[in-house]
Amino acid sequence: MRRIKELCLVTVICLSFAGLTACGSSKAGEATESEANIEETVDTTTEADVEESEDTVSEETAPKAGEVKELSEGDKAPDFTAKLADGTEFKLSDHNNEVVLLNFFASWCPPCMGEMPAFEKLKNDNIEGLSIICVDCMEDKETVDQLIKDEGYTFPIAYDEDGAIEMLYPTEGIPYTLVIKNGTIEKIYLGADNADAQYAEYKGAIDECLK
Amino acid sequence: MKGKEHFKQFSRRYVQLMAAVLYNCNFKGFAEGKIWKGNSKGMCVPGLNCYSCPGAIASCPLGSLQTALISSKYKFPYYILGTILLMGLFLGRFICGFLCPFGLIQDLLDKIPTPKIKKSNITRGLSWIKYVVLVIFAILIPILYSAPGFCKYICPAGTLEAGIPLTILQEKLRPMIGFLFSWKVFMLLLIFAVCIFAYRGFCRFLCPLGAIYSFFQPISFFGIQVDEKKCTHCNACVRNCKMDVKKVCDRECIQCGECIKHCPEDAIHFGVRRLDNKKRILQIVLVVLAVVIIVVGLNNKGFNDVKNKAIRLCYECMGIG
Repeated sequence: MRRIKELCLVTVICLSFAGLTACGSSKAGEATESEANIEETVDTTTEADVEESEDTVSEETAPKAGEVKELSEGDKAPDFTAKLADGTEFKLSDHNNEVVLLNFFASWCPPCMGEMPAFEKLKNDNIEGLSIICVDCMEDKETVDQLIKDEGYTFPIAYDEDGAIEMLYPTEGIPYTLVIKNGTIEKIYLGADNADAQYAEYKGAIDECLK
Repeated sequence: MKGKEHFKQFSRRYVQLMAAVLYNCNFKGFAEGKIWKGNSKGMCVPGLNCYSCPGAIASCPLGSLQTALISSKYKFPYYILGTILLMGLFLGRFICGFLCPFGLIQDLLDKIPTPKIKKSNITRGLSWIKYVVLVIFAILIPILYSAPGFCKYICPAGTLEAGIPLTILQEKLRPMIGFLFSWKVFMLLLIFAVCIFAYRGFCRFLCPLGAIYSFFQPISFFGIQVDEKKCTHCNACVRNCKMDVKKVCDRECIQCGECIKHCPEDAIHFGVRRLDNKKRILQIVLVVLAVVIIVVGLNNKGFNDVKNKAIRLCYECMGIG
């Protein structure tokens, strides 16, 4: 009997953990709301918003399955507008007659950071008709700014704090890189080797597209 | 009456099984080879359970700690540190004994009837390895080399729960398999072999999460304890324990409760720990500290940070890429 009582106690403790974490997160939500007037843009990344956008996207793109379908080569690249770290905006449909190298990365993802020099090198190649855009997956603006400062990247990096762009390009994992030509996805890369190998890989695909 | 006896004997196994199923209840994921992406991934389960497992509905505390340490140069990982602190303070290594799915796997491996390596001063010495693993692989490599060292080179749970099933289920991941995957499968098999011949080999010698929780053993809120009034110091508890313990509820004790069955005086039981005033004060201070840093972490969007990492496949955990 005592044993059963003790097991109940354990269950209660476990539940209280879950409860505490849940309460904590709603408290955090309130706190961010109260700070809303300070940083309006940052505030939009609360959980509720992310959830909402998830719902709407899944309804639009895959109403039957109720789940976001991953893109494949030959698909039309969904249009998006991204805010770049240098203050400008990037609209994919403005680059319809160009080749776009679209990459999704995050500062905590070692393979992503490993291949970053490849993009720097491609940018320095100044290839005519090529746009590079690297989207940071759902990290804070401050983190992205600090990362760019620390690493000295000069290629275009976009914020995606609420994951809106990533919703359009759903992927199981990052790094995730797409080569887009005239608005159509030509090539998809999942994962990454070292920077040199990735540079050769991307350069080859881009040259193929520009031929 | 028979049912009650059965329950009494196997209650730990049921709790372990329940925990393992609860952590991995996204059954659809196993069918489709897709990982869960819901908000619950912002929370950590107490035990070692890879968040790249298709079934996992929450994060692994050790995996989250490592990825948080990788980005610690941009953001101090308040939320995850607070969570681990709080879980340790409440339960200590009770988590290892009851709430860890990999613990269950190890317990089952021990059922394979082979000659077992008996505990000795050597195994007691080997048990220090996990602290080295904790410092080097789970703390220093993430901070200095920006890689989740433990997940990448050692973690058998990642290979078993994520690496192997996902490469079977998803064809597009297969080209990414390289040397690292072979290494991790080798590690998994090696650890399984150790666990067959030595009870809970991974837990005793390697697990950094167990090492973290072991620090909380003297002050955990809930746990196993000896009634000093009843105890005759016959040492039956320590003699019958398969872990490298020197006394009940020291750093190596996983609080499995095996000693309760062997105590002739019925002096050992689970419950809210009775602590002296000094420890009680330390405990309260740490609980308050943990809650404060969790709240700070949540305001710092720690919940989203943990979730954002856990909803993406960790190629390192799987040993690919």
